Amino acid sequence: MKICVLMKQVPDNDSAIILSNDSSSIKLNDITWCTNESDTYALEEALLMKEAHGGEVVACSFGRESSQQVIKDALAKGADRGLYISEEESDGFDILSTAKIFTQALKDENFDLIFSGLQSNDSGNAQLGLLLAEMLNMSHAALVMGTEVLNDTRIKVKQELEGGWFQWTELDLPASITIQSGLNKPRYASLRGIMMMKKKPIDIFDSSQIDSTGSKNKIFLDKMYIPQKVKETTFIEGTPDEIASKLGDLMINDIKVF
Amino acid sequence: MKINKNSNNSQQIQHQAIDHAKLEGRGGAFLVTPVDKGKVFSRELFCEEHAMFREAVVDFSKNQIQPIKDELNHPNEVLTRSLIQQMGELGFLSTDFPESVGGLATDKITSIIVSESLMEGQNASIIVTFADHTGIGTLPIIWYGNEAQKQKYLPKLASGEWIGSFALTEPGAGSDALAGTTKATLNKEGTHYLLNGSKIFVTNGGWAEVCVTFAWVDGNKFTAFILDKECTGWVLGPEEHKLGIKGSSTCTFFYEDCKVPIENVIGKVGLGSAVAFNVLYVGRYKLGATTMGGAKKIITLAHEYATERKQFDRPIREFGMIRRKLAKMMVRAWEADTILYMTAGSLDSVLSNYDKESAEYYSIVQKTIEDHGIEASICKIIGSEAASDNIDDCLQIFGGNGFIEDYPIATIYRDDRINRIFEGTNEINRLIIGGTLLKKSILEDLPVREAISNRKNHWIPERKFSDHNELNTLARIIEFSRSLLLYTLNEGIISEGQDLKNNEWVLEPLANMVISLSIMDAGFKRSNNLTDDADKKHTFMNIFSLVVHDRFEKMVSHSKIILSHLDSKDNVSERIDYLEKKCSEIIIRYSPIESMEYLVKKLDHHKKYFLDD
Ligand SMILES: Cc1cc2nc3c(=O)[nH]c(=O)nc-3n(C[C@H](O)[C@H](O)[C@H](O)COP(=O)(O)OP(=O)(O)OC[C@H]3O[C@@H](n4cnc5c(N)ncnc54)[C@H](O)[C@@H]3O)c2cc1C
Repeated sequence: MKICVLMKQVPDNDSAIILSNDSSSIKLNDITWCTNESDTYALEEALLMKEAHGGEVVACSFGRESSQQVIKDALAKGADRGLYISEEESDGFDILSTAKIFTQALKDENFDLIFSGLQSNDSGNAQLGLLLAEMLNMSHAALVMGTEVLNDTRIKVKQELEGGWFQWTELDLPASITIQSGLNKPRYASLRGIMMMKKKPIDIFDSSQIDSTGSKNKIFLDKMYIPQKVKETTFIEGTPDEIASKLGDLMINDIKVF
Repeated sequence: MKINKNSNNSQQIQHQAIDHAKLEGRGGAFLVTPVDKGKVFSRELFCEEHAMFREAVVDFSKNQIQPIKDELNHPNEVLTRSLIQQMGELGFLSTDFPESVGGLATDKITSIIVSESLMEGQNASIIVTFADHTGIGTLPIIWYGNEAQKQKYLPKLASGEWIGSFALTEPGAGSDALAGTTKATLNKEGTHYLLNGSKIFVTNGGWAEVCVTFAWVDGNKFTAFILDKECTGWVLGPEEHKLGIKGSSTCTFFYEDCKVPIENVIGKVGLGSAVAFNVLYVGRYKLGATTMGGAKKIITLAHEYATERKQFDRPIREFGMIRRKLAKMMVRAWEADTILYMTAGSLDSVLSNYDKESAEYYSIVQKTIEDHGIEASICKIIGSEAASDNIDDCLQIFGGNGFIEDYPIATIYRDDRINRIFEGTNEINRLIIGGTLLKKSILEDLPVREAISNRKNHWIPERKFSDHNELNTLARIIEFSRSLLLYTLNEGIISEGQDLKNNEWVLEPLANMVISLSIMDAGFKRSNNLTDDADKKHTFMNIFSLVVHDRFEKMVSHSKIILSHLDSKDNVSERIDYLEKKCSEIIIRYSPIESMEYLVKKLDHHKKYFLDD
């Protein structure tokens, strides 16, 4: 099984987000970077699959120089090889252009599976895996919560539906699958894994040298803002019984916690 | 050591060349190496692997330890074992283990990184279990064990399947570790030693499968033994009720004809004191690392509370007295960080020249670490006192809530207290610093005599130490302080002779001077490791000038204590007069409030100790 895991470097949740003066981007200086959360589950699923069925896991990232760190972290956890597509301006690419670049970088690799996280925590497109399936002529499943390899040519996946329902689907390989967080328990990097990391190769593609004809942006970012927090306080008055019934009503119909 | 008795005259003295390059990697080199003649390791020089090791341990600690930190404050063998085993799988236990038994044999910098970063889990008990296991619990076997002992014990200790321990202390033998009375007698068949006696305060005692312990053979040969569960007569006493680290195990052992196979003697019969004392050096600098991690971590808690708590209509963080505390907390943590990585780097600079798999490697490790005895004790003292002082300041910032168990600081305060007691009390460590200094000087192991003589008339060598003006000014203060220490030491030796090593009234302030000089010196040399980042340089200058001025004042006051004592004993006043004269020649101008405010403003932004990144 030859598996590619797409991994993106995103700002850490605890990182302070400061917008540039013209609100068109985020100031990068103070940001602590990390691997996109669902991508770490995708990596774990790939590693488990390799451990059970053999093969190779390749970690692939597209972005600025520092993105190589997510590849190195993946190598430390057990991926065999890295594939880095360098592009300092990657934030400026819309998702279709991004998918075209990945297509060029991955097309000759003939992966059996491409795993990606369900969506990235920063731009939240949730489309890359789907677009790649189309462009690389692979089958596709999104929101995957479980996998089971049937044989060399077929895989079964458990997908999350609405309202707590799940569905098992069988797919032909090759397939591009997007992984939902929580389906496994991502491992920690071991010190030995980190020491081995140095010996593993990272192939580098310069995105400007990739033939990305037609990958012109169709979507442009207009403005960014930090959501305003609004706090509303409602006072409920009356006898304890009245208060309890009004409160119950609010919770069921307005706040919808039940 | 022959030194002119008439020490204050100004006769011309021949300058004695010191080969500073040769002193690189030598313990105590900082005493005689001017700031512009040596280099130190600091975290600015971490390689990619070091940074990733740190991330890996932080990641584990935050996710696996921190969420259960309160549970870990109660003894829970199952939980503790499961964490230790996870640490084993990830390699955290085996940084010092040889590769032949599945260890990682990393550099010492890495073992400091691991110890420090585990504090992100915010639980002291598990750290004590870990540190005892990886330090004094296993190092005797790694360093002194024969191949069969290594193969039998180390793989399971590396994986965490077995827990290790170290039993040296006895009811009548604490600081005076060799005063123990446990006896080992060879049985008639010559196959086993029978141990009789008891050991107290054994960390990991209730859980350990393996224990390194000590007993007298034939009444005069102090010997180290490995106990395991096959040894009959190894009787476990009850758990102690402790002030803190309540989630760790501390027990008494009784040896009742405890039957230990002769194969379990570590090294040779009679080698016990070397085993015990050499591994304690490592225990000391590793304890320095965990406490340094704690000293940093507590700043987040103090700052968070000071931000939330309002009095007089303002967050208390805005008050100058609170801000001074926060600034001092940062300074202490930075000092400990500087000393720890300086020491680890110095050890590695020597050890990296040797083949880790060679037969003599571990005897070189022992020698190198023994040579760094002064540094190991400084690490222990600086780390544990930075943690204690920071935790005390944090509790004060919590006010009345600090005294109430519902808030986290009360537990932290209790947990921390042991750090100034075990692995050699801080008194004993000061004694080691003073004693080793005297030994290295008198035996001319370091060119202290040359340095004393060179500095006799020139307390500050006439040269530029740095192109950076402010650093140059600080360098002059540091070189003055170095001369002050050398002068004070020399006067002590002249006046007291051999008795000096027993005069703790003098040795304690002398050790404090050594500690202060080591920090100033390493701090300066650390400045060479900074990148071009202007903001980081500016922050460095602020923190470092606080360090230098504070440490300088302490050194002068400790020197005065010593010199006035020597003067009054000799019924003169020449030494103290000379010191006053010297001090009047150095001009100190600086404004600590501005530097502190600068640091705390940054802390307000980062909300945590920010000098690591
Ligand atoms: C929780 C805990 C865990 C421990 N774990 C272990 C362990 O795993 N293995 C082990 O072998 N031991 C262990 N110890 C023992 C510990 O190392 C000793 O308690 C410590 O070395 C001090 O010895 P003591 O308690 O006998 O104090 P003492 O030696 O009686 O000292 C009492 C006081 O006198 C001071 N003092 C003693 N001699 C001098 C001197 N020459 N000059 C100046 N001051 C002096 C000390 O600094 C101290 O302040 C542990 C202790 C505790 C409390």
